[in-house]
Amino acid sequence: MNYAPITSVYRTQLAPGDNVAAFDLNQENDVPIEIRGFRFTAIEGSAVGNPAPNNSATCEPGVWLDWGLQIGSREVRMGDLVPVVATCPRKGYADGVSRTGPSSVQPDGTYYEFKLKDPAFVLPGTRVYVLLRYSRTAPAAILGSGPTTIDATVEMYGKAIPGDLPPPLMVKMPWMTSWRAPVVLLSAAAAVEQSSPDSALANQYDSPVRVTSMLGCLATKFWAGEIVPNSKVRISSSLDGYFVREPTPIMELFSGKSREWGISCAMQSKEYWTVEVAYDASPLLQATTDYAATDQIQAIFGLVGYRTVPLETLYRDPKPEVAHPNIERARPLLPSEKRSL
Amino acid sequence: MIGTIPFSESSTVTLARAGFQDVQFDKMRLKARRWLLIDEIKFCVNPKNQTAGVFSSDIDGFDFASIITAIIKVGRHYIASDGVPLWLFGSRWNLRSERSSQVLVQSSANPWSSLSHITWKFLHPMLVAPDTVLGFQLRRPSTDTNLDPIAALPNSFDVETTISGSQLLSPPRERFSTVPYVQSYVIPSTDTGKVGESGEYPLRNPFTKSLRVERLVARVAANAATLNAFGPLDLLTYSAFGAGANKMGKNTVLIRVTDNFKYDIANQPSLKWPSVYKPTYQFYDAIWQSQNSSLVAPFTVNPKGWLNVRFERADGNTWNQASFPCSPMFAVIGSRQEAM
Repeated sequence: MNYAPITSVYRTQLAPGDNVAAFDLNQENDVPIEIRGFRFTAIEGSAVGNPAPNNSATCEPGVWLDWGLQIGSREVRMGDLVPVVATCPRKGYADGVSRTGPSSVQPDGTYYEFKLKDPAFVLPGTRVYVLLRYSRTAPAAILGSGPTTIDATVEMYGKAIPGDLPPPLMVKMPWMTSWRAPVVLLSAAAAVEQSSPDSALANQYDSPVRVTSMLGCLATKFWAGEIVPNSKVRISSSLDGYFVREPTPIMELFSGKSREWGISCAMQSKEYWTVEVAYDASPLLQATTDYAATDQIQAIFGLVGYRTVPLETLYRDPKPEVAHPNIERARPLLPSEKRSL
Repeated sequence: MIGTIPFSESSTVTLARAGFQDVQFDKMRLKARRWLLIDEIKFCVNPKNQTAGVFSSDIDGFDFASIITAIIKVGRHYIASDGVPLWLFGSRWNLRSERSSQVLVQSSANPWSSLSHITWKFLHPMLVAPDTVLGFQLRRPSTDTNLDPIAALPNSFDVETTISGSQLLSPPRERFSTVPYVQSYVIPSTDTGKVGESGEYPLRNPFTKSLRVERLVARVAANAATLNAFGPLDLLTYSAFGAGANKMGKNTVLIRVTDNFKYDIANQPSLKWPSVYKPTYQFYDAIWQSQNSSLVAPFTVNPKGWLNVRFERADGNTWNQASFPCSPMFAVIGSRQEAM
């Protein structure tokens, strides 16, 4: 078992507004593990009784999929969930695969990967929660159409650590934050400039966090953002001022395919970044017939990194805030309890 | 844990036919008070549609980044001394060709974006001192180039250049920095059986120090003469060419790369056409990585050493004929150490 790769998969179907905790991802091994990352897929849900997903979706269901991560007793409230597209770079085998014709354009090779720059150490018996939510809001789906249901899959992967090794005193826990801008009508987008609030892309902790990447995309009712070349951003820090000073196309700053900008910096306690978005949706309206002026567009941004915390803080008594009936049984075993078994 | 903050700068130039423009990075020079650690250069080529005036000419599989070339300097050091097609700098992400994961909703009236995104991520970040000028010059060929008449489109091209990396909060201790270097060899479009060979000079290490090669890039651009099913005034009527393009995907160009000692570095993998009409995409052979057409081959070229690349049209192919010429391109991407 030592140093062996480990994976755990959870699959669910979400209706709009559904919240689900992926309890199948628990650390049930007898030895510590290092979590290396998570992978997500989100495809349009299949009909009841039909195991095959509908591969003909023209939207990107991942735009509506939010997730949150809780390791040990760390609290995660539903309000802390972040969009998958804002925190997980987009991947795909063979750079994605299109289906065979106009009526079937689901890139079924697309997935999202939250790969930890530094693995997260997790003791045996620790609960690992990945919380999923279909964030499309009723009655009108933002951005236009949206799947009735989403078939979502999350996979945790890592490796086992020899159980006789002393656990580290400090562990690096994943950290992420995001901002979904208010949706904007395409017809009005050219006149709209938005700024993220101070509380959105902020380090809410009392210690610095290490930011390892920033993600950004533009969501529309069809595949997100790729055909909006002229929407631009400026980004500033509350401590250091503008670091993306010139209005820069979103697709350019956040590399088109992955939507990721790899960075490495510290974000001080209570520091926040401000993203200013200036939309230009004119290409959608001028050059296509598939968008209407009443359709919407939304900018989504996220920060990903980690913070270093004492291992013991992961094993305090949980204070459940998640509305799930099993949460009380989810307290992880303390190391002393584990040894006594 | 502390030491850097992110950094990004971008600038757009509009290139008319046969035009060239300098990218204005003076703003960065004037305002950056800190050392920079640059690790990415990105380009986005946006061929504006004439009718919409915005974007999206509907030219299947053709990448306009193949005809825009760049000369790049950092301070007094050249990064690309001759015009290098943007296509060769790095991995490319295009909605249309090379099988992007992003397939937009399709209809007969819905054009696909012809934006070309090229990201060149340095293997080793480059230190740039405050007040250093980053010089970019972008060129668009005139009508007499090998890719005419695509190059002759009256559309203006917007080319966005972005550099990104980090600002160092304190000066570095290093006295040397890795400076990337790119050389390219592009031959005019070839006909049946035509051979192109770079010889000694295009891919020669011009420095008095070793050039650390990181990867080789090989691509094949379809000559626009094969794409003349559409005209510059009607960029949306290309569907009739689809069948032919499918077959073109099976066309091949042979390539052989040797060093100045005649040792094979990459011998005879056949390159397929870079981009074809959906859905029968064809990739290059496995040796050239499909997404960025590169061969990761770390080795060193000594001072005055050189590489030779030889292209040849494959025999026995239906589409290997004069009416379907193509233009192979090759680049050596590496770096060397320079005093800061």
